[in-house]
Amino acid sequence: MSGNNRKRDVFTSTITGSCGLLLLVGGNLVAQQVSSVNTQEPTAVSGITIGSLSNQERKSVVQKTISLSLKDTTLRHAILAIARESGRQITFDNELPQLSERISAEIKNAKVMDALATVLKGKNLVATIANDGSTIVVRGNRPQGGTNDSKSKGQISGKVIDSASQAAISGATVVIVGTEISTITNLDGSFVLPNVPEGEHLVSIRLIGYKSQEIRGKVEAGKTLSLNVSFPSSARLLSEVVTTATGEQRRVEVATDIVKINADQIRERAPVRDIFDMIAAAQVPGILVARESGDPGAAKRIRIRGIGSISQSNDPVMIIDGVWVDGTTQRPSRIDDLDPASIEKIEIIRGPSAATLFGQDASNGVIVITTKRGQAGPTRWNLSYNRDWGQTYGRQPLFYKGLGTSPRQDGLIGCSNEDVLNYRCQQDTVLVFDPNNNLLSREGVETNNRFALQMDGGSQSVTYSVTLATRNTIGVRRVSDVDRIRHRVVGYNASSEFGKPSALRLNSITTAVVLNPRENLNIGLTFTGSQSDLKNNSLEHTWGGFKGGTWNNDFNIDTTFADWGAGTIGAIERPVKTNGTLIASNIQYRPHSAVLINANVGAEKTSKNESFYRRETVCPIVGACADNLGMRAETSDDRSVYTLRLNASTSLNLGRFNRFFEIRPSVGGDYKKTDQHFISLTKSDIPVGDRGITGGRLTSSANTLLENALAGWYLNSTIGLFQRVYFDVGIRQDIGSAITSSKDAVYPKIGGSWLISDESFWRPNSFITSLRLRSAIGHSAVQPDLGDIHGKFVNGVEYVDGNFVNSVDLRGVGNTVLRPERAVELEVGFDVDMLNDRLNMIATYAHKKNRNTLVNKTVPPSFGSIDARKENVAQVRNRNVEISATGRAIETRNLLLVLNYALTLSDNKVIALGDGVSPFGIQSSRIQAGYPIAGIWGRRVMGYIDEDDNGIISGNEIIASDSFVYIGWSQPRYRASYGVSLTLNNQFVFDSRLAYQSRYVPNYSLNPGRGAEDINAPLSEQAIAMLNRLPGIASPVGGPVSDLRWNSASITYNLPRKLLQKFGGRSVSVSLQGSNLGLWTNYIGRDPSVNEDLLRGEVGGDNGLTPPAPRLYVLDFRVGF
Amino acid sequence: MNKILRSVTMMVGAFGLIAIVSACSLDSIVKVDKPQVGEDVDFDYLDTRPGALGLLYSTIGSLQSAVSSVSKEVGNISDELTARPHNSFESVYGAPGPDTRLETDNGAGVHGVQLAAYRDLQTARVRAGYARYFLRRQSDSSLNYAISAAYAFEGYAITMLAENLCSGVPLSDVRYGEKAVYGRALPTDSLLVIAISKFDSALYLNHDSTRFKTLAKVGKARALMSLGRYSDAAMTVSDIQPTDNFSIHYTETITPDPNSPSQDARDAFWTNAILAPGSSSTLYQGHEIVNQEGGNGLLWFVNARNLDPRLPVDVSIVDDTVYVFPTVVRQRKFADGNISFNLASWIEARMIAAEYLLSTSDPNWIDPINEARQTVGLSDTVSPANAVQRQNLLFRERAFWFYLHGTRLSDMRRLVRQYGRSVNSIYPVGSYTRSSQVYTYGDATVFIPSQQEFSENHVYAGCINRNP
Repeated sequence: MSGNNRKRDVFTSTITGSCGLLLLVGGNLVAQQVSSVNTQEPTAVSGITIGSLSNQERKSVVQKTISLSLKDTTLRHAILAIARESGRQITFDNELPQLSERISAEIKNAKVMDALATVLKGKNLVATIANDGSTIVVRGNRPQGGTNDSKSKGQISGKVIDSASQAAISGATVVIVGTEISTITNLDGSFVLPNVPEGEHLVSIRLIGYKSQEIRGKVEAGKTLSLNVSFPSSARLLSEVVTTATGEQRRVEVATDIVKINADQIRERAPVRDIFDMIAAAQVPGILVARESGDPGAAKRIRIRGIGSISQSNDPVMIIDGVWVDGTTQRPSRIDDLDPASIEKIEIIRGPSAATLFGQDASNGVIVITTKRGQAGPTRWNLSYNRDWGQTYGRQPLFYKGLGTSPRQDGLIGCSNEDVLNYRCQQDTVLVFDPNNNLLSREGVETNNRFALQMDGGSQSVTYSVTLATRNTIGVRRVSDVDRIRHRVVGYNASSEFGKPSALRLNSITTAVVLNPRENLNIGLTFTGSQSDLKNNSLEHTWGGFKGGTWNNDFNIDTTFADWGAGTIGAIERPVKTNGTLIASNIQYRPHSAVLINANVGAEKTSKNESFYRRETVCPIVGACADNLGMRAETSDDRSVYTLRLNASTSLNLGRFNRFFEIRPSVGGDYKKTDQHFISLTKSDIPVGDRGITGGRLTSSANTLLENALAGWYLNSTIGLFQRVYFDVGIRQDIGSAITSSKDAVYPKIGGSWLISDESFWRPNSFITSLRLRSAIGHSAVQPDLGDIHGKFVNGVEYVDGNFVNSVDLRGVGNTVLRPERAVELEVGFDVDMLNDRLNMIATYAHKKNRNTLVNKTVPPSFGSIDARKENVAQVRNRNVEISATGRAIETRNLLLVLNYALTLSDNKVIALGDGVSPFGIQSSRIQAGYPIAGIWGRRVMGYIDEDDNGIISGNEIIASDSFVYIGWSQPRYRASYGVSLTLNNQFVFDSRLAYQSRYVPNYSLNPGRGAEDINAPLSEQAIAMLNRLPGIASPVGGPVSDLRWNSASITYNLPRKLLQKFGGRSVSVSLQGSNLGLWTNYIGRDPSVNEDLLRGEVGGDNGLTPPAPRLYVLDFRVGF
Repeated sequence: MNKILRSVTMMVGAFGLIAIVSACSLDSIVKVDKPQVGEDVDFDYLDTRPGALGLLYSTIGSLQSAVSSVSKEVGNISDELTARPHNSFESVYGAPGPDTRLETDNGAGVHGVQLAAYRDLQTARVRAGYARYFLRRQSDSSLNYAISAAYAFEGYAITMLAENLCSGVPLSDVRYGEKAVYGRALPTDSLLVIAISKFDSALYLNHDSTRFKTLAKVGKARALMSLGRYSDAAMTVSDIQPTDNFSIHYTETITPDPNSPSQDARDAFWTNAILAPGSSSTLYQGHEIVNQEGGNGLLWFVNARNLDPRLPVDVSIVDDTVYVFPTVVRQRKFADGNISFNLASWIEARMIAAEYLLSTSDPNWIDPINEARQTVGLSDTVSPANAVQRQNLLFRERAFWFYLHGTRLSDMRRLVRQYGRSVNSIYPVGSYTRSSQVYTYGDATVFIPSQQEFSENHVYAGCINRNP
């Protein structure tokens, strides 16, 4: 009851805003609303009806007095003034003719209903108050002036919500069975059925994705029957609400497939440290998450439906709580800083067909992240603690090093096969070693501690959520024992800090407060702050050679440590400190039940400071080491993203047409501005003992401030027919600081969704419970940089006439006719619920074509000192087939077995490169029409023969392909994932995921391989190695690689509820999780996924020294109370 | 129904109004102060007097770099320079083949030095155009001198392209704010006409900068001379006074900004500077002067005690039997890293006047030669008896005056084209030895770097004419 009182108290001064919006947007919208909690008959007092309230409620509503002096004003304004003064919400039909009549009245210390009675006197209007006191309705006084029929009529009002999320459900059809009376629910879920004949009625509420509800109630003349309806959550996919550019929409109305990831569900079954891990663990078809290495803080990238841009970013747009974030341009992304415990959900909007209205750069897809907002109720505490242990896995191909002697040099020297061929040496021995175990580092155990405290709670008017998290990760790679001993032998006493593996310490806080000061106003505020500290210290060395020898060798380990001679040791400190903040506010305002205004305002700021300090120490053969000059670099990178987004949506009331025709138009606009301020300073020759940046010699500096702004507006409308067919039509126009012609930046979209299983000709059956067909086509773009258009200019200094003068140098020719790179995507698919909703399947085919694709085209020297400039010349096509299926194979009271399957088939091709553009690039960067962007290219050994019979293949003895030939895809063309989840008695949960993919992978770890360093190597290996060493070749060595990875497994035990109740707990679970648990592959390196750089689609493969993502074992402990 | 229609109409109207208001204001709200144009130059700064002048200064830097590159390039191709320890041709053009020609490719289509010279000239030309565009936008007559200079720089760069490269140099039209147009191969004469038009534009502008006027006049005259229009050329430079010149300055004593792109230009000039002995760099120390290289070159020096004041040299003997020329002679004209030399001067005007008089068989043709010689204390010379000797004298005088100014190759080509000399009598010919192997010089036509031919300029297919 106290909650109700508070709720009523905040219903103040809503009418002014409501009216304002009504006048602006929909001045003739029907504005009728009665909220009530039961159907008890209101009591009429002096033409005013007052519901059956408690004494306290009646007092709060009725007893407040107001004073007003109304002189020759319209009745409308008089009612509004009373509403404003009384703090009551007064609803009226804006079409009532009496509202424009002018009145004068003096109201002194009158109660609200009395005041209304004064102004309504003689107007044939009546004011009624809902029995919860929340709303006063002014309507025609039908009992007095109506027909005989109207005397016998009442009305039905109510609200429809989702029982699980408590979210209002709009668009539900409310029909009085057996009559023509019907309506659809407004954006806030409310509905009103006026002029309902008195008597008992059966009210049917239908909504796609939910089971229809039928409620019987009795309508009495002149009274309002209140019906609040809760739709039980459904297993059907279509019942979900997903986020689009215009706000939340039911999935059934959206003609594209939007992926929704429940963050907590992912966390329960897979080790995730950040959002990228979370997306990867969700194994969504069409989404590729790659990391560059397994080192802490290493960058990760996301690609959605392949690569469409050749020279521009292929990163998706990222939005957190409604505001854009710079989630992709920094490496590592600051998105990593958000703790998974603070995330409510992640939605992935794939391709321009869905992302059109998000504007520029959305053609690569949009990732919408929503943090936890809290739920009303007592404070709930959720503690989670992870302890991880990780190790790398797989065996690195062995390194080979030929050693030999030469009459011109003393001691052993490096002696490759090529050296032997050129008579530079005679090979004596070949060293073979595992570089990761013996060469530069020894890989140890990765440890990770993560602690998160999340709490939320609140009341009807305020909810909150706070997440505090800290993470400390120590990487796998360490300085090897060999190296440490080496340093000690030569007398170098590095502090213990050097040689430690890279480590990341990350603290973050995420807070969200949602205010509901009025029923029609919702204000959400989010603040996230993070502070990360990445240490990447290391010891480097340049050994002068053997004692008494001259061989400058980094690789030899087959000697005693005492043999190591003079050298230079570099002790490198490389700390990176990053602070990130995100402030996001979301305001949802319903000036009218049929109108929703949504505003997002926010900013994301990151500040990264990176230091590089290298102190050289020279160690002679005899004597102590001595410090040498040092080098120091400092960089500061501050970036900001500012967001303003506005959207207004409405649901048009089309009266009796509502049953078969709905239209919900939206209009919106947004503004995004990014700043980047980059400062760097590098100095060398820093004197011994000086750690600062002031001394030494300046070798480079930069001070760069870059800004970019984008703005756009859009119109969109959802049109529904017969509650089964929906069309989504929209158009957006963008303009930005880098767009020269706004007419090029108009992006239309249209989509259709047809719930065919609801058609009358569809025979209901248990095999296919529901089936939706959908198709959409939409445009979007990626914009060029402003510098690409206007050219690039830098400050310089010239010596002119005996003086140094400031100059401005042209460093890049612009291209003023550049247009945004445009993508158009056709998406066709279906969603099906089968076998009594136990099997859900989504299948999508997407055909995306990038036109005017920007190519960094090499320009001739006649352009001057400019190598390239952007031109809109290429066309790229991406085709994707995405299938995901979830089935509840066994579903009993004590056992639930859920199986998941996801499949992605990808096809990428450069269709055309434009006139005069020759194929360019080599290896995995080669761009050539008819081939994929990230194809692997190289020369192949067509044959070899040892003509001189010396046992060594020389360059002249190889028959190589004449030119670079296409070898194969570097990006997976076929990916599949498999998941199984078993729940026993709601206590034990076992989950496991596998993933398979195939592609071509270049493998650089063969170099230096045996074929190049061992004269006794098989000739075939020598031929491959020699080909790779020919000038201008550098052809990658690799081949088709398939891998099946056991991505994750977990077993979780949830304490029984009865046991929890004994000590007041809500939930306790212990989970043992693992990731990267197995890898079965024909790849000869450690892991083909290592060192993936998807910025341009390049996949570098295992370069030999980059550790893959470790195999993790995680103990996850959670307590909720 | 009317209610519905009115509802829809008002809704559409309201949305339209919002849309129009939004669209009208978008242009202003997306304007940013520091757009993503370059690294640290404000876009608006270009449109100011200092910004426009800054572009002009960078053009001077480009021209410095171009002249330096071309002079070294021309020096190697002609008889001005050879290289130690490698032979000059090979050091420039890569591994020699059995019939080495100047255009010999190294197999990978790379001609680093030659490309640098070619590219630097094109850079100076393009930058001059950008500078001119922004200078004009200032609508300030006091900047006429700068606009004139930009025209002169552009004309000079085009002239050097025409003088030194084969017929068929493309001039891609790259202008600020306009669509770039890929250049087609232009005949040498067309290039020269274009250059002359640039010089004319420079001279047309009213300003009082004698320096830039001198550059424009001499540059124009050079172009006219290459077209064989001796009379017009002489007329163009007739009013140049002995004190008039356009000098390019350079110093390496201070490096104010290590990141400055003009470092490239300094490096290029430094290349010439370290031709002097005692330089700390070993990169270009091998460049030497060889008397009568290839059998045809000039006799640059007689001995260390009898030197031409216009070409100071340092003579030493190296004890290295590997080298073909045990006597090492290095020029000292550019003795250190502080360089100032005249791109255009009264001396060149005198040489042009002499050549014009010679073409008219004027017996006083030698007078301008001697007027110039007197400025450095050289005694007067007399006109030889026959025409060929007179021509040789004229071009010898030019060679000494303009040693390493990037003009020697052009002079050689004019001797072939305009004076009917055979290639084998002008350019270095015969054989040379390296690493005990004997190679043969070919004729001397300079082709456009393969990067131009093989680049994305689809309207260009290489030289039109290899006529030297």
